[in-house]
Amino acid sequence: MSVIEVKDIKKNYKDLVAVAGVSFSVEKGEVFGLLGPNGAGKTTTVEMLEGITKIDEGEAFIEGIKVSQNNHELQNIIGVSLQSNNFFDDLSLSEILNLFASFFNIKINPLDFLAEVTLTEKSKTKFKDMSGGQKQRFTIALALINDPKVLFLDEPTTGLDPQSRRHLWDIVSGLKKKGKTIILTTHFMDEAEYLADRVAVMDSGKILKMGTPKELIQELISKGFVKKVVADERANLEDVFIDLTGKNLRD
Amino acid sequence: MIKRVYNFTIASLKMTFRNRFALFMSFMFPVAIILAFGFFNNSNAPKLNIAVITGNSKSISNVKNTSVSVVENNIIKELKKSGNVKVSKVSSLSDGESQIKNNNIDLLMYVTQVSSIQPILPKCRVGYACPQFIGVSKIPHYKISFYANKFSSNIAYAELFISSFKYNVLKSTLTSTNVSIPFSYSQTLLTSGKEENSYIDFLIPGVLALSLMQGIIFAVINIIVNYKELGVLRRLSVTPLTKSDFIASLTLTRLIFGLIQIAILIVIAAVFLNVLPVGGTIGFVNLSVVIILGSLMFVTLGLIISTISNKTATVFPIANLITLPMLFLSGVFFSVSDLPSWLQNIVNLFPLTFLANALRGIYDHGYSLLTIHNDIIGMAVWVVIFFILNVIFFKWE
Repeated sequence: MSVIEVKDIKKNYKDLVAVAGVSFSVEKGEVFGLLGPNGAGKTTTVEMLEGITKIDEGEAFIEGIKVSQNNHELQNIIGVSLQSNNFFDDLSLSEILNLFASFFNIKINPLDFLAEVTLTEKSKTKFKDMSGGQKQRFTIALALINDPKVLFLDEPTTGLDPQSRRHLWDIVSGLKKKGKTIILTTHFMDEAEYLADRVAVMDSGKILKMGTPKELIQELISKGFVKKVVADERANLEDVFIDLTGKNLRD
Repeated sequence: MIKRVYNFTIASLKMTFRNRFALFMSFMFPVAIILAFGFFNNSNAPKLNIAVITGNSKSISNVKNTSVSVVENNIIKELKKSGNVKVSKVSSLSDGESQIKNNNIDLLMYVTQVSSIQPILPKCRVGYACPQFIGVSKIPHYKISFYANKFSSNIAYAELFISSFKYNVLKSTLTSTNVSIPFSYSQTLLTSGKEENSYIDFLIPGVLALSLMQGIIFAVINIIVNYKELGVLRRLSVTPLTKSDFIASLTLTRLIFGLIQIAILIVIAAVFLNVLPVGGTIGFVNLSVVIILGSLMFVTLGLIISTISNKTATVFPIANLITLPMLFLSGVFFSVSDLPSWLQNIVNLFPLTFLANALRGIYDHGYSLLTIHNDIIGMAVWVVIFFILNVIFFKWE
């Protein structure tokens, strides 16, 4: 049985149709990518699954739990990294982790979670004093606090430099290896290609195509598509950039 | 739920005390007002309003230049030389007393001539038997009666004036050779009809109420709007922390902080201005009850304001629109009774008016909670109204 089952969910904001009937399912341990330009309905879809946004029509199940009905049960099995992640400016990372753990009524060692995202030495730093990349990594550590079965990462690399981006990819790959089911939204195709087992391409609140990245590329090529500028497939400009500036994180 | 509220309250208090600027402002604002008004009040040399009763008492001896009217006129002449005194004449004691009742004067002086009995000492020649006591004689002298207005804000100066007056008369009696008639004094405190403490006594409970209102309303809307804008509330909504957990700890945090803030301000007022709440321990208990109720009232009001708009740019002007009329009219800087009566009817229903009145009753007069039950009921009604509005309108986003 699928971990996530989404059946024709819809969301309207007055006259605006944000999500116009989306269905998909995600297997255990899978990284599922939702791709699409800004305003495609990725975030609305994800927030409906997280229980933040009310589902107007249709239904979704996570681990068999009906999303629209069991908010509390749902909260205990999902981990969430929102698109704009801000926390309490005047608390340290350890304090925020401990506070969130107390919401779930669990005791944790903050350093374990910070080690996961290479922020161990920042445990006493206040949230407001961190860089964008560090905040994004911390957000993932915080999403893991209740040992969730399903992890939602909404545009986790937007606004990061290539080093931070690659580092975050490593973290997500590591989580996948640990068996977490992950839903990832992004508008970076290379990111989806690198991380996602399957992707759904969305636009105007609808899924246009779904499949593994390879399947989708193969399908396009089989339609007779030829890339106008053929670059050397063995490397791209970002690889050059990383080669020149190194892999080390800058923040 | 209790555990979550407890943990979130502790974390919120930490954040409050780490936000140095906000902390500084929440103490500087009321302290600046108290000290500014306090010193302003002190630096103004008080002008004593003194009335002298003239032409009402009869002289009992006709010694030239020493009749009562001469003494009265001399006193008035001397008083007029002093820049800090405004002298007026009244015609009778009852007239003077009614002037005090109406708070028109600080001090009333009444000169009468009375006769005192003095022993006649025998003139004895050395070496002869001498009787101890041979009789008494009646000697006319002047009695100056002071009637001080107990509830005048200048009562301390009036008392100071009385002692310096006695000293000066004594000095002139000793140095001048031809003053043969002694003076005696009596001193009486009269109460005016309207009980009034000094302005600083009036001001401090009002400023405490004001700073509680400003501190809580602006902290609440700042937290809510900021958390909404930054998406913190959205992130909290996907944790088991419920809306009621969040609001309970927000309320608890503001309540604890409010009590600490008021306690510190009371200490400052006591140390720098020598204004202490009357009523001892029970007074402090009553103050705490009123402060807790007032805090609840302003937290719930702040929450409503923060539901009107989600944007910092609009929510703060709205908050000012609601708090400014209370700041000026609710009896913080001047008494509500100074307002036109149609306005009084409205202002007396303002949340801050109830709190300022309740605090002033306990702080200045040591009233019990029962005595100020009208203000307590008023605040409780507002809490219920605001609470219901919040249940209807409050949203996470």
